[in-house]
Amino acid sequence: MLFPERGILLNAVAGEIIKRCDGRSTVTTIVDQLMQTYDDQSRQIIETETLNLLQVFYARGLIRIES
Amino acid sequence: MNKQYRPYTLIAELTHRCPLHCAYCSNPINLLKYRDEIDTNTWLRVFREAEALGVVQVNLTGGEPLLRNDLERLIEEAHKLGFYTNLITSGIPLTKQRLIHLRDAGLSSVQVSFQSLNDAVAQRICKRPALHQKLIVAEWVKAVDLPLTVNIVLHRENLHEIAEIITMAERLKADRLELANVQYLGWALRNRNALLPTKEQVDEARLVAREAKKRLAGTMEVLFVIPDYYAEFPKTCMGGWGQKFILVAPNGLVSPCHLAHTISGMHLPSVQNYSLEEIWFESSGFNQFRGEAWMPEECRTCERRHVDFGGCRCQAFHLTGDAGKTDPVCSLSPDHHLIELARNQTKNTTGIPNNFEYRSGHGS
Repeated sequence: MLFPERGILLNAVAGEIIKRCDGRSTVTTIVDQLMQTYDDQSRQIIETETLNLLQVFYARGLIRIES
Repeated sequence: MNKQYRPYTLIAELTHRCPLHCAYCSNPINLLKYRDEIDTNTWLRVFREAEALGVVQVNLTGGEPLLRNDLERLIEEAHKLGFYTNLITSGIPLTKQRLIHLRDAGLSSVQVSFQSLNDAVAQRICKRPALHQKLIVAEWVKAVDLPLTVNIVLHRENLHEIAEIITMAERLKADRLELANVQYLGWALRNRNALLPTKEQVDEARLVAREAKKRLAGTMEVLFVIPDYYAEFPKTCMGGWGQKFILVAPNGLVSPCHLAHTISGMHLPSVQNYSLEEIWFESSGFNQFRGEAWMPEECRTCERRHVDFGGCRCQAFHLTGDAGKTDPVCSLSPDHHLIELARNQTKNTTGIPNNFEYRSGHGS
């Protein structure tokens, strides 16, 4: 993931989350989709992990929240 | 040949010509030596070779990159290669129409640099009125929907403006704000006595920046770069010598950083004679300070050697005459007194106006 003068190498899971941030999907939709990919994990774990990652990216200005 | 290193970013110094004459310019002092500029086709080849080496990001800089008439063509190619392309500009000369063309060619983001929010201070630094135009350009960048980085170079004469600068960046809806203190190399080293702030100034500014960073998280990324003269340990210069960055100077000279070619005895080839791949992997210049074998004793036995790689080679050279020594900024360096001396001088010179030696030699 590239942004002015730097970049972050995303691991596979982070990549799956970030590529779904398309300006339309809600967090619930994203978690629903990840549930299908990582069907061995509980919804709670996926939801927590997703929110943690989104928070880090939001704090750095790398994603925006559309209400 | 060591294939473990991969450049992620190409710094393309398209020209050293510039309408401004900033007293802290990071271009080399002997600008005349770099007056020749490689042509469009050579730059296009450089981009393609960079992509093949693993580069994913290109910084189009200078001098003032807008002075190259082929900028649109270069951006188009960078975009085609999948690069994230940053334009690092003074904003002069630019029209909104041209900015739209650059965007349509595939530009990813724009950084506009400011000298000061006080027109008189700004003109004292860059020797021409520029503030008004810069503000307009920054507004255009947002208006045409490109990410905006506001950059301001900080020093003794403008550090106190920091809160005001943050407010301005918020008003401009900047995505990123770089509050970057001068690093004392190139023209800035010449003007160090006039530019180096006191420790109190730096500490105060750092607090303001820290508060803004917290408050603006999610809307604007705030970066505060301290002058390394006030750090305990050196900066991780360029992420390590010849490890992440590859720079091509206007005349085609290839270098690990902006000033490596000012180190005497450094052999850095040109894209006119070699491919980027040959230069990156095989040139003596790029290999000279890779790994640990070159390090002086105090670095080789230091646990921070994997963090800062002994600091900035250019700073070591320009302060001690030996590029292979520990960066004198490091509190563990035997040459650290050079830094302490400069710091101490700021206590006696504050408030006394100093004359600047302006960037010159080419391009006015």
